[in-house]
Amino acid sequence: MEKEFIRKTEHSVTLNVTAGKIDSFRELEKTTGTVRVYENGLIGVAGCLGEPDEEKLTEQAKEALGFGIPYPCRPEGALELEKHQDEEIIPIPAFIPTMQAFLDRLGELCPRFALSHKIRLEDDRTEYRNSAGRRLVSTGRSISVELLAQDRGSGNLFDTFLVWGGDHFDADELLSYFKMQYDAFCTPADLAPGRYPVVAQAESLYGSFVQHFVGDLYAAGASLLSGKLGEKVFSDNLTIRDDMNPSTACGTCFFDAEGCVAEDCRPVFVKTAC
Amino acid sequence: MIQFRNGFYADIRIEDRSRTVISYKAGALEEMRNRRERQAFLRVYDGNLWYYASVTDVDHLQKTLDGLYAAATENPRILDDPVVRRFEKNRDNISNFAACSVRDIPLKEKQALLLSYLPLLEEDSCVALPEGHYLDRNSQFRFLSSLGADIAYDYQTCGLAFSFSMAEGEKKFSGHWQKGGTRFDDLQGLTEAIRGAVREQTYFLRNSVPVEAGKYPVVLSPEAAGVFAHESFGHKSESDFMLSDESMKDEWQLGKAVGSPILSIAECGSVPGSGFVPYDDEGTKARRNYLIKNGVLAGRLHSAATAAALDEGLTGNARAIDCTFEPIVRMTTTYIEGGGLSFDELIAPIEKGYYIKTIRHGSGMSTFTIAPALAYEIADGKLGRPVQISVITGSVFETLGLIDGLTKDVELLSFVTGGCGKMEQMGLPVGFGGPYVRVSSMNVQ
Repeated sequence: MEKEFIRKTEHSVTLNVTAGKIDSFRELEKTTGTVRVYENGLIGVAGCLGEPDEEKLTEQAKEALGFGIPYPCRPEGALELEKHQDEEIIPIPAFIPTMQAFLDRLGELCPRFALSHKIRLEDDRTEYRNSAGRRLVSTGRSISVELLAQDRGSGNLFDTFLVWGGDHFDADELLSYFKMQYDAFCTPADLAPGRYPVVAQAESLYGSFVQHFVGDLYAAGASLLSGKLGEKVFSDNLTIRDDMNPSTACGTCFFDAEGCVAEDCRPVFVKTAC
Repeated sequence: MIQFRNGFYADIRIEDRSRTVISYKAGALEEMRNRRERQAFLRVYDGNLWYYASVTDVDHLQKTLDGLYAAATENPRILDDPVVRRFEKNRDNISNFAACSVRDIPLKEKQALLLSYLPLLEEDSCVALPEGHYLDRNSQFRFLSSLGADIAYDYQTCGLAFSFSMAEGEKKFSGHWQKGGTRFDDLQGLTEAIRGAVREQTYFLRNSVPVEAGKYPVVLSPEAAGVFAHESFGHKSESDFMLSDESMKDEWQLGKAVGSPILSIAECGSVPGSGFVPYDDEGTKARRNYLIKNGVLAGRLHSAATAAALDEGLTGNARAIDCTFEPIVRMTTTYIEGGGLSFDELIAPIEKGYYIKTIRHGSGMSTFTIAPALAYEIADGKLGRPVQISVITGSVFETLGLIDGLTKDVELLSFVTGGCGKMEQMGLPVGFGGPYVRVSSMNVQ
């Protein structure tokens, strides 16, 4: 019998913003545990919310083998790897005053916007072990600013977002970034209907298409890409990767839930058109 | 026994949740689990800031509460705070599901029920990847506040959800069907309903024709009308969006005409089903709230904070998806009230138009977009061929004004998958529905 154990701890401090003012402070600490066992091509799974008792979960997972759920795979082989990204971003006691000062300056720079929603500090730890000798640990810290902007008087629930995430906080840098977006918002473009070159964030272009890369849909013939592995399907300029590399995707765990680590932590969907 | 302190407002919400998930994909069992989770959410308010904590260790709540008290500042006048003054002090114990709890039904019995329906998905050769899910949830809620509120109630949903990819040549269609209920017995005897739904969708795959884009009269089913009410107007009625921009108070004055005089949209947490919330997550008792009454803006949805800010009454709409999050203003069951017509009478005057039967998704701001799944022509007052419609869209207020017919029959729908998403809190169980609704003109693409 083979076994995998996963323990995740999420800790976050979230500030709620209403009308540009912080009105709440929320602290979340959440630990989850999962054990998966494999035997004779079957899988048994057990999980819990709260500190995991590995022995108890293992017994429950063994019992779940009796459900007869087929899962013909073997856990990944031996590898010991840890990646830690846990430099302090802002000390918790300084979080409210730092961010309120930032919001006050942002409000002065963007007077048309009524700002609300969340600012969050997160630190997560994920540990994966299996009976084949693999042990992976990933820790990540990140800060995110997710503000809804209502253009005062528009009557809309919101008109645009000011969103940013990173592993450090530089108020001047971020204010400059948001001011650029504000200026663009306040400069309406007079466009005649027609076909134009468009620059867009990558995820907005392929977001609705991404389901066609899902393996079981592909294997069942229900994906638009089914049977086209290795064929030239896209533009020669196009390569699509899933970024699980903490150096560019802040706070991301560098391995998946089965302990797989992709080359450079960036699995490839499309490589130069194929 | 929790010890609350003077000089602060505090409340504690505890949920003991049992969930069952059984999933089959392409005939193979993929998941079968029952999980019980206990979690708590604590709030302390000092009149200036709210302090929240979410914990899975529900046996040491006093320690967590004391930590929040330590972070807050004592306020001897906290009971005079306009938010605190609004909180209700309800004491109640509601147990609707003790005698029919899904916790008491063996996993094998739930599996057998799902297995009995799965072969129905594969009766037609065009189905490629059938999926079937059994899902249930039973929650025991407890709410305590420093003002003396003490509420216990139970919540239960159970249901079946099927999805299937269909392909024939170049034609592809994603089919789905689901049934949500509150009792396991609600899920018995569904063979003909499921078989009929699969047959209708395979017929649609083979025979539907592309729509000719344009403006047409459109009839919305209760499902489509409910999504329209929820997405297009319900979210606009969540008053937290009015707090940041002062000008919204003028824009959204109660008494303003916003729709056809035959249109009334209501919201109520006491409707049985997925949107059942007899007390919200601030302990406010559910009541029926009109958002639109006879075409006029009649009310909006509140938490205590938004009610205080706008000087209006509580509505019972402060909700969180679970004890990870604080309650925010959310819907429960949102519906359009019925009119006086039969379905045949509703479509009879339409020379050329469309009937939207089921939908994939919908969204709405100042304009709304609904992506239909199954749709049909209406020609000379009769239902006709199945048609492929990517979206129906329009200005929310213009469309509300163009509603010119409602059936007397109203259906309120309950769900076990999906749910309402708002910012970080996704998948909140809600209900919605209404009558069949005729709109005299909509953009159809």
